[in-house]
Amino acid sequence: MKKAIFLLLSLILVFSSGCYNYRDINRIFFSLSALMDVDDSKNITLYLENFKSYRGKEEKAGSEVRVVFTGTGITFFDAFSNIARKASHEINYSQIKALLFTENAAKHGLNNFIEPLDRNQKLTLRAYLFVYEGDPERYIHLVMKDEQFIGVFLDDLMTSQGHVSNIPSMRFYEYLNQKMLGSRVVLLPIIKNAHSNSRERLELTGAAVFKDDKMIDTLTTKELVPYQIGINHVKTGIITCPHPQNKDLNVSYQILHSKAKLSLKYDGKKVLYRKDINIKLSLTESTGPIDFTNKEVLEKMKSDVRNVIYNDCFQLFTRFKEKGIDIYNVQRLFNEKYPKIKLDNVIAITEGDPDSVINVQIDGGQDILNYN
Amino acid sequence: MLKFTTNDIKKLLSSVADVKYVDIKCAKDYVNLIYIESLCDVKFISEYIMTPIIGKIETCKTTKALKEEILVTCPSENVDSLDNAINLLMGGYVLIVAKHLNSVIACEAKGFPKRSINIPITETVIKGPREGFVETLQDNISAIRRRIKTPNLKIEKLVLGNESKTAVAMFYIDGVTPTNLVHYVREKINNVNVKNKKGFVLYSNYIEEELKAKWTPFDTIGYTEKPDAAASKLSEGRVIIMVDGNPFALTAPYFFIENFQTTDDYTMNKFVANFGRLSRFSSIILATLVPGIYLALVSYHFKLIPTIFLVRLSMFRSGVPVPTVIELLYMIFFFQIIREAGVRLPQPIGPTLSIVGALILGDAAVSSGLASQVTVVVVAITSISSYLLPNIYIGLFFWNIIIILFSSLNGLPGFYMGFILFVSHLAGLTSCGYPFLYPFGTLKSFKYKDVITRGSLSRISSSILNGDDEK
Repeated sequence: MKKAIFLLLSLILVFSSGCYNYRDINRIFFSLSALMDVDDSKNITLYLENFKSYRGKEEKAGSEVRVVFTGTGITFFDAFSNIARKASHEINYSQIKALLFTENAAKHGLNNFIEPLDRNQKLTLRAYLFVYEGDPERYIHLVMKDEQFIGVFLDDLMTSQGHVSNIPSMRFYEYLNQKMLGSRVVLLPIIKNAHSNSRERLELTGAAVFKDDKMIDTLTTKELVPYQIGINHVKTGIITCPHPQNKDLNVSYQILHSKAKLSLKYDGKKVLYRKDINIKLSLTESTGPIDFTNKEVLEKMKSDVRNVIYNDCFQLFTRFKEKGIDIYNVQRLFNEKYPKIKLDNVIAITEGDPDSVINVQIDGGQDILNYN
Repeated sequence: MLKFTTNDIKKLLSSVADVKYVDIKCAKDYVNLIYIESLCDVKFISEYIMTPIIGKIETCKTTKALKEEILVTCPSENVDSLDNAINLLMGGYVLIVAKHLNSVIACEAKGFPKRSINIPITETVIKGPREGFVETLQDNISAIRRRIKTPNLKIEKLVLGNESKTAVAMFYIDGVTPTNLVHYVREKINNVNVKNKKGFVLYSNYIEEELKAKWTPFDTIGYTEKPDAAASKLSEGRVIIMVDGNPFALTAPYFFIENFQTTDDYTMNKFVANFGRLSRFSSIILATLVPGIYLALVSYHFKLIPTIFLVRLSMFRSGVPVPTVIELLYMIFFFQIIREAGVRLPQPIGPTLSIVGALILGDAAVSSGLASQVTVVVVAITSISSYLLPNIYIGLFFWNIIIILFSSLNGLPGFYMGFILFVSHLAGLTSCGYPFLYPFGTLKSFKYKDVITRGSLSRISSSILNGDDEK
């Protein structure tokens, strides 16, 4: 028995790196977010936002301190090692909540950062990805009154946005998957500094379109509504149409629910891309009175909504098709439906099906199941 | 012709202060009464032995006459050897010696100060019998006999210790308790005499150590201070052992699961009882595993801690100069010292000191930077949880330390290794040949219907060991 215990302990000590990895929680820098930038000379600059506990003057507990390290290098790991030389304790990456890329870095190509980060086992794959629009120096000095750490703020922001906005959220592991699928077009949320009540904050302003790891275009928050309807991910949104009885006035509808059935047909020459959409709306505002007793008016309201959705989706599709970008990832749908047909650049021969059906249901009130 | 005389006894009992010799003059010769004053009821001797002898002194001519005409009201017997005479004297008998009698007569006249029956201190109940055992074996036998009136209740009396001559009673119910178990326990009790060279058996622990598994902090022989609990164990087919001078009954075999059972489980509403029992099951997880998991998380697996809590943890530890494992170990040690002090101090002071000591120590440790708040909370939860299982808290304390050391070496994999060793240790123990973890891990269908929760009392099997002889 004694021999067995001795052998067991020896095996643990020899073959496990365990006891050498022992670290006390107060002697570690925990990274919460990282911003990556590329300058004109293609040097990579890494801004690492960290949390570190500080002994402080208090008797019973210390305090938390935000520490931002900056490191520059020819390669990504060069920048990392530059930072490591400045840290008095080990830097732990297990708590990283957000990975941000400046516009320059995004246009330069995310592959310069993503590959090393993917290979690094210490990093969590749950981190959200963002494109940061603005000067990195403002990111370093940003002080928000309600949240000291930008990483935690961005994590909370994306968690709450998931229910109320159409800004696409993208975690690191999702990006690694999506950049390999179909047309390899991925959308990342754009974030930038915004002033609110004379204090600086961060704000989501739209989405950046990436193809093959490079940022090639952007979508505004308004353009994101037809995009999300088109890919069947819409959560909420406002559709504004002309008033059914007065062209000078407008009517707004809130999207309560939307379900899109995506299909395509390939006849050997061209691909017909069809979207059948069932959408449920709530009439939220009208700038003038509407006669609800008139059936023609009600039908016109539905018809107007139908036209707006069709036109917005079609325009978005056409706009990107002309640039050769498969924004709806028709390629992936094609590969799934016709796995034996090897056809690259499906978008070039894709046309929208004019017979796509859009069923519109307009309710008069809010979602009655939500009592919040 | 007498085989020994008063002088022989006097020689043997020279320098024994409490032995009394009373000479009564009768027709032919003197009648000598010999007894140990501290073991006998002097009033009883005077009233029922001396007075009748003096009153009918002329008829005190033969042994037969003495027994049948004078000592009518007290049980008496003839003594045939000096050794037997000494044993009877030490057992509270009066020896009547006279040269003209054909043998020495012994009359029982036991009487000594004894503790009255009190509420058991170690096994308090909310609703249930409050009678506890006392140090007198005869009273304890009576307490059990009053609860089980069947003639199948067997009580075997044995004497242990060549010098102490300690009376031991072994209880079992014929037809319910497996015969093999009775033989096994009897043999082990007799072994105590063989192994004990000093000849003194003063505590029930002499028997307990002979019966229980070696090299473990867990008790594989149970004990109870309550006659109703002892009777209940007997009804389940166990053997009960009681030692004169000890207010505890040993129960064999004893299973791990019994640590989670209390008398209240069977006397209170079953839903209330089961809630209490489930909280005891939870407490063993808290008492054994929490410090190990805590150490593994705060030293290795930061990914598994929510960020907000991680920030707090780090802040709390910012002023602590020693590694978490050392901090955890000395805080556990401090709490054990407080517990020990609370137990050893006199009753009115002990609990007060424990509470005040824990509060002051916890607060002072945090203020002085010796420990973080979370460590104090973890150690406090661990300690309090272990108090829900008073019979095994020392065992849990030992394994707690072992699991902490494994966690400090290798994080969660180390913790799992420590936990598996803990379960293996428990699974490897036996109690009188039965697996200690019974009925867990046994292949046969459970005879034990009262495991995690208890059902209706009518459905709980009365005998859990019955039929084991057939195997």
